[in-house]
Amino acid sequence: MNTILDSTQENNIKYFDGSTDLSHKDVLSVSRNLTDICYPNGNEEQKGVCILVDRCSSYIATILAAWKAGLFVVPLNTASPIQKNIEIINKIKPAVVIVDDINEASFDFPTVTKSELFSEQTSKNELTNFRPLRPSDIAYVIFTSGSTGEPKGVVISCESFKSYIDWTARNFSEYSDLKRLLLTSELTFDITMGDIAFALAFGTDIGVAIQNRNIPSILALIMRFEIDILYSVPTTHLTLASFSQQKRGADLSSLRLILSGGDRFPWQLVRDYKKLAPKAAFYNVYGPTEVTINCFSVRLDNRLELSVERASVPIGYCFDSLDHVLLDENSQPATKGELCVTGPQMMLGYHGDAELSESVFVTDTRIECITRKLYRTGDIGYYDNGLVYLEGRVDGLIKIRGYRIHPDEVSKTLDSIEEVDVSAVVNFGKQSDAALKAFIKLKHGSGLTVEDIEKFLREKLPDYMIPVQYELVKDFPLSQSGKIDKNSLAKRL
Amino acid sequence: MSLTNKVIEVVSSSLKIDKEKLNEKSGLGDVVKWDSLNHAGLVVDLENHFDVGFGFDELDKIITIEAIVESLEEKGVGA
Repeated sequence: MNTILDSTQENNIKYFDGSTDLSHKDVLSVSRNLTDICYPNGNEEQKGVCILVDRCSSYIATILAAWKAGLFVVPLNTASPIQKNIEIINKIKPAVVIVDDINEASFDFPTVTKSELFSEQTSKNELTNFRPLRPSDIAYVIFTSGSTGEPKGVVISCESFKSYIDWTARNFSEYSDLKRLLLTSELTFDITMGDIAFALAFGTDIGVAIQNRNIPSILALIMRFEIDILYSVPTTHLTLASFSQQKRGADLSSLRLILSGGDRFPWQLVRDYKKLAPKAAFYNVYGPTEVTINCFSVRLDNRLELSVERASVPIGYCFDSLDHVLLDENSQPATKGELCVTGPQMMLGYHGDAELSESVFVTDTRIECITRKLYRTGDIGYYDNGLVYLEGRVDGLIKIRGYRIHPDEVSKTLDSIEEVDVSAVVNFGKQSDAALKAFIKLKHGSGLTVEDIEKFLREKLPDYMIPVQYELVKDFPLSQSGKIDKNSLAKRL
Repeated sequence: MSLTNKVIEVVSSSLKIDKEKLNEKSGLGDVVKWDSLNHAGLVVDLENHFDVGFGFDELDKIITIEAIVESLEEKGVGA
């Protein structure tokens, strides 16, 4: 059995990126090669693969091939600092790391290049029965920024991912005839898994935007391949819509289904798309990585009247397969409070961190006699006319370009610079234009410049975590408890 | 003024980056503020400033000052 791929449209999916086209045949061949490498002695305990290759169609085909071979997947980003990737690889202890170039980095684990893996059937066997992928096996591990600043690996089971595929098949059945979707988000972000789930549900072809930060090139790809599904973070949507309004000859009319997830956005985006892509339905989808991609969704293009009463967009309704509750400060069900979710899409836990895994669940007091766990999203929600809206976080996490980050993680990196005495990083801007500002107090006599500091950060952190403003300060305002008063710093912005 | 310097002027004013931080090798992702959010606006500013239209097939190429200059030269824009 293969929990993820059985009874899906996997055989019909094609993979493209403008230069390399792949099909089911390639996936099958890669699965055989992966089986030779990872399970040389037949069925064994489940193993994992880390994928560290540049964005391309092969990246996605490799994910599908790994599942076919009964492996779990850890997607990595070649644009991230190598140290961060090595840290993750060392934690996962994969059966194999897949890379573009074997000379780029050395790992303590077997490494194979993408071209070796995709070369014409190096495997001698004609295997068609692969290691089974059981419901309780792992589907993927996605690393997100933790509240302590350490990256944490969210472990999602095959059963959970399958539940998400099934929801996709039920919820979007009227879009089953759509042909091509385009991956624009980071491949390490679980929007990618959401796109793959859509393709598995309906046999949709998967395109990969190689330059996902070059929005004009995304527009060109949508036009060239007549893309009909686009699931992106709001910053991509906002920039794409704005550019398409200004660029002569821009045409988004092929779009039939637009999904926005990962952050809030203004109602104006829905209005803009209504003009740019009149045939498209626009959905807002919401969910922490810990609850397998999404757990709430709502169609918005036919609900524009809601914008008259509320400036913010709703996250909508909980999936029919899941259950939710808002808990107040005393952990009691309320009409406003922390959004908690339960059901088959709950993560297995954080990789190698039982304590942290335990801390994000709370006992559901609505039922007695048994202990049912609720996942605490950290988002504060409230109801209005049956729809759920969000209003801030219970912790200090913020979102930049769809990534959850904690400003303290940046400040911790700054503090690791020898000549930095102490630093504080605060967030400014709202919703889709959130950005960071770093306040730094240097050690006496240090000649360090802002340019030096920024260069150091670029070597250590991904670019969405790099502050856009810096200020060297002599002293910090302190709160009554003697800690740096970040509220007071934020007021200076 | 050379075309490269003219392009640097437009990039500098569109992205609010000091001209001194830019050279012909600078491009999307290499310079702070030249990111996905601002790049699209830059393409529009370049089209308006030089009164040209970039083809959809070259939108994945014009991501460095050097490549932008090359494309403008092909369109007959001179120094």
